[in-house]
Amino acid sequence: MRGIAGRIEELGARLVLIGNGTPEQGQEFLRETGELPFRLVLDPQLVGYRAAQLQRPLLEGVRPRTVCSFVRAWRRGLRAAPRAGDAHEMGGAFVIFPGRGVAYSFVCRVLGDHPSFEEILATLERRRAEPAGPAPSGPGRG
Amino acid sequence: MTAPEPFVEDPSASAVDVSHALAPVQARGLDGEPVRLGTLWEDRPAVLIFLRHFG
Repeated sequence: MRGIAGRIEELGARLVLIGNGTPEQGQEFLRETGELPFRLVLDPQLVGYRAAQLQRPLLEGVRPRTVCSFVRAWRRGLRAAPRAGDAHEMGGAFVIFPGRGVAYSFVCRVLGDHPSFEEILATLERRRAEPAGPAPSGPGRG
Repeated sequence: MTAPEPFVEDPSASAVDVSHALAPVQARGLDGEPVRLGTLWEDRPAVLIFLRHFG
Protein backbone atom coordinates (compact mmCIF):
# COMPACT_ATOMS: atom_id res chain seq x y z
CA MET A 1 0.00 0.00 0.00
CA ARG A 2 2.83 2.37 0.79
CA GLY A 3 4.23 2.07 -2.73
CA ILE A 4 0.86 2.60 -4.34
CA ALA A 5 0.05 5.61 -2.18
CA GLY A 6 3.44 7.11 -2.97
CA ARG A 7 3.01 6.53 -6.69
CA ILE A 8 -0.41 8.22 -6.64
CA GLU A 9 1.22 11.24 -5.00
CA GLU A 10 4.02 11.22 -7.59
CA LEU A 11 1.40 11.32 -10.32
CA GLY A 12 0.01 14.51 -8.85
CA ALA A 13 -3.13 12.99 -7.43
CA ARG A 14 -4.56 12.89 -3.94
CA LEU A 15 -5.39 9.58 -2.31
CA VAL A 16 -8.48 9.79 -0.13
CA LEU A 17 -9.82 6.93 1.96
CA ILE A 18 -13.44 7.24 3.00
CA GLY A 19 -14.56 5.16 5.95
CA ASN A 20 -17.93 4.66 7.56
CA GLY A 21 -16.74 4.24 11.14
CA THR A 22 -16.34 6.60 14.05
CA PRO A 23 -13.47 9.08 14.58
CA GLU A 24 -12.03 6.73 17.20
CA GLN A 25 -12.05 3.84 14.74
CA GLY A 26 -10.48 6.09 12.15
CA GLN A 27 -7.69 7.05 14.54
CA GLU A 28 -7.03 3.39 15.27
CA PHE A 29 -6.95 2.67 11.54
CA LEU A 30 -4.35 5.42 11.10
CA ARG A 31 -2.24 3.99 13.90
CA GLU A 32 -2.34 0.59 12.18
CA THR A 33 -1.50 1.89 8.72
CA GLY A 34 1.26 4.21 9.86
CA GLU A 35 2.40 7.30 8.02
CA LEU A 36 0.94 6.89 4.57
CA PRO A 37 0.31 9.76 2.17
CA PHE A 38 -3.46 9.69 2.18
CA ARG A 39 -6.29 11.64 3.67
CA LEU A 40 -8.89 9.81 5.72
CA VAL A 41 -12.41 11.18 5.91
CA LEU A 42 -15.45 9.73 7.62
CA ASP A 43 -18.93 9.17 6.32
CA PRO A 44 -20.72 7.22 9.06
CA GLN A 45 -24.14 8.16 7.66
CA LEU A 46 -23.14 6.59 4.31
CA VAL A 47 -24.25 9.69 2.42
CA GLY A 48 -21.24 9.50 0.13
CA TYR A 49 -21.64 5.75 -0.30
CA ARG A 50 -25.21 6.29 -1.47
CA ALA A 51 -24.18 9.16 -3.74
CA ALA A 52 -21.54 6.89 -5.28
CA GLN A 53 -24.20 4.22 -5.81
CA LEU A 54 -22.26 1.65 -3.86
CA GLN A 55 -23.88 -1.60 -2.87
CA ARG A 56 -25.22 -2.81 0.44
CA PRO A 57 -26.40 -6.38 -0.13
CA LEU A 58 -27.75 -7.54 3.22
CA LEU A 59 -27.77 -11.19 2.13
CA GLU A 60 -24.22 -11.13 0.85
CA GLY A 61 -23.04 -13.14 3.84
CA VAL A 62 -25.11 -16.17 2.89
CA ARG A 63 -24.27 -16.38 -0.80
CA PRO A 64 -22.65 -19.73 -1.68
CA ARG A 65 -19.68 -17.99 -3.26
CA THR A 66 -19.07 -15.98 -0.12
CA VAL A 67 -19.46 -18.98 2.17
CA CYS A 68 -16.99 -20.97 0.05
CA SER A 69 -14.48 -18.12 0.20
CA PHE A 70 -14.91 -17.94 3.95
CA VAL A 71 -14.36 -21.69 4.35
CA ARG A 72 -11.26 -21.62 2.14
CA ALA A 73 -9.83 -18.72 4.11
CA TRP A 74 -10.63 -20.42 7.41
CA ARG A 75 -8.84 -23.59 6.30
CA ARG A 76 -5.79 -21.51 5.45
CA GLY A 77 -5.83 -20.17 8.97
CA LEU A 78 -7.08 -16.72 8.11
CA ARG A 79 -9.37 -15.16 10.66
CA ALA A 80 -11.42 -12.05 10.23
CA ALA A 81 -10.33 -9.04 12.21
CA PRO A 82 -12.93 -7.28 14.30
CA ARG A 83 -15.05 -5.08 12.09
CA ALA A 84 -15.24 -1.36 12.70
CA GLY A 85 -17.95 0.34 10.75
CA ASP A 86 -20.78 -1.04 8.67
CA ALA A 87 -19.73 -4.56 7.66
CA HIS A 88 -22.62 -4.87 5.19
CA GLU A 89 -21.49 -1.86 3.18
CA MET A 90 -19.57 -2.60 0.03
CA GLY A 91 -16.71 -0.44 -1.07
CA GLY A 92 -15.63 1.08 -4.31
CA ALA A 93 -13.07 3.30 -5.97
CA PHE A 94 -13.20 6.34 -8.22
CA VAL A 95 -10.60 8.45 -9.95
CA ILE A 96 -11.99 11.94 -10.43
CA PHE A 97 -10.33 14.75 -12.38
CA PRO A 98 -10.98 18.43 -11.71
CA GLY A 99 -13.71 19.70 -13.99
CA ARG A 100 -13.89 16.46 -15.91
CA GLY A 101 -15.44 13.94 -13.61
CA VAL A 102 -14.91 10.24 -13.18
CA ALA A 103 -12.19 8.56 -15.23
CA TYR A 104 -12.21 5.25 -13.40
CA SER A 105 -14.85 3.59 -11.32
CA PHE A 106 -15.15 0.32 -9.51
CA VAL A 107 -18.09 -0.81 -7.43
CA CYS A 108 -17.54 -3.85 -5.23
CA ARG A 109 -20.34 -6.34 -5.71
CA VAL A 110 -19.27 -9.31 -3.58
CA LEU A 111 -17.02 -9.79 -0.61
CA GLY A 112 -13.43 -10.00 -1.72
CA ASP A 113 -14.01 -7.66 -4.65
CA HIS A 114 -11.24 -5.10 -4.91
CA PRO A 115 -10.41 -2.34 -7.36
CA SER A 116 -7.31 -2.80 -9.46
CA PHE A 117 -4.59 -0.44 -8.31
CA GLU A 118 -2.78 -1.18 -11.57
CA GLU A 119 -5.75 0.22 -13.47
CA ILE A 120 -6.01 3.21 -11.16
CA LEU A 121 -2.34 4.04 -11.66
CA ALA A 122 -2.65 3.48 -15.41
CA THR A 123 -5.58 5.91 -15.51
CA LEU A 124 -3.53 8.58 -13.72
CA GLU A 125 -0.49 7.92 -15.92
CA ARG A 126 -2.54 8.22 -19.12
CA ARG A 127 -4.02 11.50 -17.96
CA ARG A 128 -0.61 12.84 -17.03
CA ALA A 129 0.74 11.98 -20.47
CA GLU A 130 -2.14 13.62 -22.31
CA PRO A 131 -2.25 17.28 -23.22
CA ALA A 132 -5.12 19.24 -21.71
CA GLY A 133 -8.31 18.89 -23.65
CA PRO A 134 -9.32 15.39 -24.71
CA ALA A 135 -10.90 13.35 -22.01
CA PRO A 136 -8.89 10.37 -20.86
CA SER A 137 -10.42 6.96 -20.98
CA GLY A 138 -10.03 4.29 -18.40
CA PRO A 139 -11.12 0.86 -17.38
CA GLY A 140 -13.20 0.13 -14.40
CA ARG A 141 -16.49 -1.25 -13.38
CA GLY A 142 -19.43 0.78 -12.28
CA MET B 1 -24.96 24.98 -17.86
CA THR B 2 -25.00 21.29 -18.68
CA ALA B 3 -22.93 18.74 -16.84
CA PRO B 4 -19.95 17.34 -18.74
CA GLU B 5 -20.27 13.84 -20.13
CA PRO B 6 -18.56 11.12 -18.12
CA PHE B 7 -15.48 9.82 -19.82
CA VAL B 8 -15.36 6.26 -18.61
CA GLU B 9 -15.26 4.16 -21.74
CA ASP B 10 -15.63 0.77 -20.16
CA PRO B 11 -19.08 -0.50 -21.24
CA SER B 12 -19.72 -2.05 -17.86
CA ALA B 13 -19.07 1.23 -16.10
CA SER B 14 -21.94 3.28 -14.81
CA ALA B 15 -23.23 5.88 -17.24
CA VAL B 16 -23.71 8.23 -14.33
CA ASP B 17 -20.80 10.44 -13.46
CA VAL B 18 -21.05 10.16 -9.69
CA SER B 19 -18.69 13.08 -9.18
CA HIS B 20 -21.67 15.43 -9.43
CA ALA B 21 -23.53 13.55 -6.74
CA LEU B 22 -20.45 13.21 -4.56
CA ALA B 23 -19.25 16.80 -4.77
CA PRO B 24 -21.75 18.37 -2.32
CA VAL B 25 -21.57 15.54 0.22
CA GLN B 26 -20.34 16.68 3.61
CA ALA B 27 -18.05 14.14 5.24
CA ARG B 28 -15.98 14.67 8.37
CA GLY B 29 -12.30 14.76 9.09
CA LEU B 30 -10.92 12.85 12.03
CA ASP B 31 -11.06 15.98 14.14
CA GLY B 32 -14.71 16.49 13.26
CA GLU B 33 -14.26 19.31 10.80
CA PRO B 34 -16.64 19.18 7.82
CA VAL B 35 -15.08 18.12 4.54
CA ARG B 36 -17.05 18.73 1.36
CA LEU B 37 -15.98 15.89 -0.91
CA GLY B 38 -15.87 18.11 -4.00
CA THR B 39 -12.99 20.07 -2.51
CA LEU B 40 -10.85 16.94 -2.66
CA TRP B 41 -10.55 17.11 -6.47
CA GLU B 42 -10.81 20.85 -7.00
CA ASP B 43 -7.10 21.38 -7.51
CA ARG B 44 -5.84 17.96 -8.61
CA PRO B 45 -7.11 14.47 -9.39
CA ALA B 46 -8.35 12.42 -6.50
CA VAL B 47 -8.39 8.70 -6.00
CA LEU B 48 -11.35 8.02 -3.72
CA ILE B 49 -11.37 4.65 -2.03
CA PHE B 50 -14.58 3.83 -0.18
CA LEU B 51 -13.67 1.33 2.51
CA ARG B 52 -16.03 -1.46 3.51
CA HIS B 53 -14.96 -1.05 7.10
CA PHE B 54 -11.95 -0.28 9.23
CA GLY B 55 -10.04 -3.36 10.26
